[in-house]
Amino acid sequence: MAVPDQMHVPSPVVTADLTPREPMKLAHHLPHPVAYVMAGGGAHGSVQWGLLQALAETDISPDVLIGTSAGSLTCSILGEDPLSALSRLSYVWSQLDIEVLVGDSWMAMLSAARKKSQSLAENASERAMLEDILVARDFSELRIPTAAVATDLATGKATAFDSGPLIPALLASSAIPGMLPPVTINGRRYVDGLASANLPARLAVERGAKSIVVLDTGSREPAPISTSATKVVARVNNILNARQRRAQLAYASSHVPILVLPTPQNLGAALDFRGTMTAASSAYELARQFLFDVTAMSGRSKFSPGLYARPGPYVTDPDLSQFLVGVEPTAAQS
Amino acid sequence: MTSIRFPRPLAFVFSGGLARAAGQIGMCEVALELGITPDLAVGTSTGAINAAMLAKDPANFHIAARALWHGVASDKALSSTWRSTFRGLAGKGSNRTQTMLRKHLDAAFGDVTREQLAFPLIAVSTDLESGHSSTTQGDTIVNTLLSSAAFPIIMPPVSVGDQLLIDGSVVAGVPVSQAVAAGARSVIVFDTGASAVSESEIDEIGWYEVLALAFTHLVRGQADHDLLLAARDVPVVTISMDQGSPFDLRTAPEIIHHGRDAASGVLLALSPRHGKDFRTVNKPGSYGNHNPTSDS
Repeated sequence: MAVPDQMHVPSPVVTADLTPREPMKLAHHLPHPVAYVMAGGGAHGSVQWGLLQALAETDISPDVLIGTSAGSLTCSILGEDPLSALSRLSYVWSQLDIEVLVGDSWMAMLSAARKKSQSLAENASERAMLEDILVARDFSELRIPTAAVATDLATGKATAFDSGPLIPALLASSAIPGMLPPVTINGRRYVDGLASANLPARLAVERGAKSIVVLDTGSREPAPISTSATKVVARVNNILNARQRRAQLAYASSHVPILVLPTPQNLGAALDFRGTMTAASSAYELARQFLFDVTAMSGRSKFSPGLYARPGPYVTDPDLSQFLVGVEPTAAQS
Repeated sequence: MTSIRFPRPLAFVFSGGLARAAGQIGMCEVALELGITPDLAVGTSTGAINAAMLAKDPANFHIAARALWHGVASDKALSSTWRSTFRGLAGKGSNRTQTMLRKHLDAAFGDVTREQLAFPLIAVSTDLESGHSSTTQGDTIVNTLLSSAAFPIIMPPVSVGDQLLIDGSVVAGVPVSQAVAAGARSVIVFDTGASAVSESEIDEIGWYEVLALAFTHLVRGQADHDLLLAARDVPVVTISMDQGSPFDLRTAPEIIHHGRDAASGVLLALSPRHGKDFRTVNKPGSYGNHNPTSDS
């Protein structure tokens, strides 16, 4: 059989060999205190497990943690014991599903809907899960200072809980409005922080952070353009989320340097827990390459205020592009 | 005789009013009584309807706007958000809510064209595709208002040109940046979109209202962000009221009075002092009774 004199073999995709021999050196660029800011996102919270694995391959260690909803749980696990956090998070995200969060009784939901109670589901099983995962019962037992963000249901104000009982604050921070019951703390009712600060970067700055690492939760494909009521609602949800995130990042990046770890943008529904492992693993790959590239681009000095991020749709808004310090993917390394 | 002066052009900005939009009638008429007149009117959702009523005939605004909201509030098809929501979720019938609103708007605006307005009108909608605000000027006034007020679920999106538009509240609860972009060098905001309620008001609410309240908080947080940004560039006088249910249209008459009280308070505080004839509000910044500093 004749061999073609020229074979058109596509050149292999050369990926960088990133095997860490020693941690990527980034910490000296980040003024202290360094805050990890963790967004909410339901099942997409597993993304933060992948991001933390990538961060563990650098020499960065956080001084404070602040998170909303799913992010407040990740923060608490990390804050309680940074050394065991990664394996505990893998346990959490392999166990967690919608039934743990809201129970499995659709009959109970229907009856709650009819009775006009304040939520369709109860939070007893979520409470049991939190008490199982965490040993700490009070914020003071956490090794890294941690704050959980919830929304004051009456006033709409974002509220950061950083002292007192831990479990009620985490339940409040993740009390999806309408779905899970508002949680009463010190006589006031709170719901999920998503209604005020799903990515609490501004609160981090107001609480004294001098640099920030953003651990977002990725997003799903934008909902299709359609006149159907449910598709419009999904679309509105995309729009509101993106807008709130832009406002938070614009405020914070005008004050301090912010590393925005890249996240997967093709995830399933926020309460669909089937893809959590895949999402975490692709987040790890993206973040590891990003951190590698940041290390490669940086000189010796401290970062100045700005948004250190991958250029792309996430940061194309005019509000944000003025602060953007683009982190371009580097050419393949040998 | 005007005792409070503003750098021109001055925009009257009408917030996405929720069911309290009638309060803007009271606020706006107090400003007019003090001789303060706008060079353009900018509004979102129910506020866009008020802005259009004002631009159509400022002299008759206090009567015509009352008549319109009275008609809407006594229309059962429109005043019950519960009923509209279930119709919308069932995937049918939300067209009917829009048809009813169109009927009221047709009666109010008839064949009025933009050229016949006393000053330019900007009604803000949300472009469903780009997620940005849209201030489409090309369509009829009634269609523009319908798209600005097409609240998700309760009404279907409105197609204007090649855009699919929904309620402007989603991205511009207080359309102050749109006013500045249109050239306004000062702004008075008639703000009925406050989302805060008292702790006791949430004792009895059900899961649906918890969800709706969280949604309005989210929209409100972004409106506050926009107010702060605009106040860096121009003087922004915000007249704000939070009385009345955000979700129940049937309380209009008292709401108008609350709006008058709020406006009188704010504008009196801006009046000239020490025997001066007038005061000019020309320094960029936030004025009025709402201080938009809360998080997010």
